Amino acid sequence: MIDPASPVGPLIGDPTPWLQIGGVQLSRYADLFQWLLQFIQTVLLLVTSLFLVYPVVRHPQNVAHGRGVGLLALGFLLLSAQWAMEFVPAPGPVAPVLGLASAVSFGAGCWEFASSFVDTAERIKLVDDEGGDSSGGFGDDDGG
Amino acid sequence: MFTRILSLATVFVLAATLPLAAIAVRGYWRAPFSRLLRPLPVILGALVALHVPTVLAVDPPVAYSTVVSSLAVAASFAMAFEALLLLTGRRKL
Repeated sequence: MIDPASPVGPLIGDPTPWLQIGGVQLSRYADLFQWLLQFIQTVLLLVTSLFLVYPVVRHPQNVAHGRGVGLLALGFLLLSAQWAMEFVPAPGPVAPVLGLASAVSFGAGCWEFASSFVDTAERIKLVDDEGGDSSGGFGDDDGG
Repeated sequence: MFTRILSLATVFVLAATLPLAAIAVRGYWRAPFSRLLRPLPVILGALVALHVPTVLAVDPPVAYSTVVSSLAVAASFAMAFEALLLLTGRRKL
């Protein structure tokens, strides 16, 4: 398979496909190592999302932030789907859309964890009402 | 072009998520739950770093993608493993 006369072998980026399984052409990658690494990483990301989903489904009494952990798991699932698009023939924008969706999912998941420590405008208003304003009510006290 | 715009949007979302992750880690710092959250900023930072070459339309060296993506995956796996131990009650507190 490797032409000894040519210094360009499959492992250093021969432009012609040297092994084709379905839609997968190993020559698309810099070398076999890159291909294997990306495959292993994709599988690990999938395992990551399963590891996160399992306690939420089987031990919900232990999980205080079930929605947050679930959203992170969804993010990892979408991320592994994005990385898996390298191995299957897919239309161009599919992979970046999956990446954006996973980022949004990560954002929502992190918000679930961080929201307890962030003073949003409504909470600040409620705290101020309790602390300083003795007349109480929800903003109708200056209405005449 | 479309890919670059989507990549840019992804970077913005991830960059906005990074401070939220930092707040969550800081907030839970003394709780056992923080062990699960600590890899999150690393993951988000690595994902941003993976998208930057696409946004700038440059071809990064193979070593760059390899190292950064491995970092993201390793941190993700560490987090999920911790979640599995902690949330199923296998780690005694």
